[in-house]
Amino acid sequence: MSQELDFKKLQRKTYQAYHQDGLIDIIIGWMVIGFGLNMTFDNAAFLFMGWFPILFYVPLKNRITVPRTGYVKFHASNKIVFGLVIAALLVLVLGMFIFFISGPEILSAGMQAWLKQYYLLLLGVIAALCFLGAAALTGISRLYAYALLFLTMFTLGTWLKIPPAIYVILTGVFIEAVGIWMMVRFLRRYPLAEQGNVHE
Amino acid sequence: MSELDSSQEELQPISDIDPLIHAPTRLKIMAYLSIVESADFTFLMRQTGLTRGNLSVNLRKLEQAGYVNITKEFVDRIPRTLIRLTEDGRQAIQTYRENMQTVLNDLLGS
Repeated sequence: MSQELDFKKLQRKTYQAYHQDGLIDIIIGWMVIGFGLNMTFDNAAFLFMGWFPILFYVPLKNRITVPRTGYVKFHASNKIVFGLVIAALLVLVLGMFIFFISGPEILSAGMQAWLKQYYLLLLGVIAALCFLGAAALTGISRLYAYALLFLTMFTLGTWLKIPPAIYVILTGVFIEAVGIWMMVRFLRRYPLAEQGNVHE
Repeated sequence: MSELDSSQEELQPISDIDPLIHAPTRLKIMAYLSIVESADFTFLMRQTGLTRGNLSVNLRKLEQAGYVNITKEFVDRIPRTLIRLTEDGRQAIQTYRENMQTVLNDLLGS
């Protein structure tokens, strides 16, 4: 039983090691900043700008991470878990988008007023839940911190009546900064390695 | 004679431990390969902390035993040595863990 646990721990650590490059953080931070800029300037181009880097995730991983720490392919179950987290996130964001575009009429006037006042807090809670889920499933512990960050920033922002764009952008900037710091640390710790050859 | 037979029987679980996997360096390699679908040479080197030469020698032994499958491919014109456990290798590490569990249980139980 204890050996079983050790192997699971090893698997988690390996998964964490593969994501120590900060690339996920940089992309998430960028997305949140894009969302904040969209709120500031009311321009959907910023929203597109925020989501655009997702397309570069795999190429960047291959260009930056793989030459340094090597390539690893995890079992399909890990990919399914990660895919489910991403899918849940997309469904939530899309659901909220559709709801705010067309749905509020089905709610009572009081509920509509509440949503109008606290929709960002609700968004913060949903984002926090997504991060919590992702952290629990992937074992990447800093995602717990991001969940707490979203909850804190969005609660404080709503409570203190700070302009939403400010605390949304600040949240994004913080995650972006963590990502960049991790990337710099990763690049220093793992200089480019030559590919090995077993039969050389 | 019968007492000797009996003591050998008692030690049988230790004899069942696969010496090829039991060596720490190869055990590390097998452990990492058992938790992933496949990995390249650099990844194994980083994770196990083995030197290039040491890893290469031990991988060759595991390949000769039929526990790992080593393939070479080019990604963006860069060579990549991809290593994965074979079905025999997965079975071997599973059996090794079970045997070790038995031995440890016997030792701790006595």
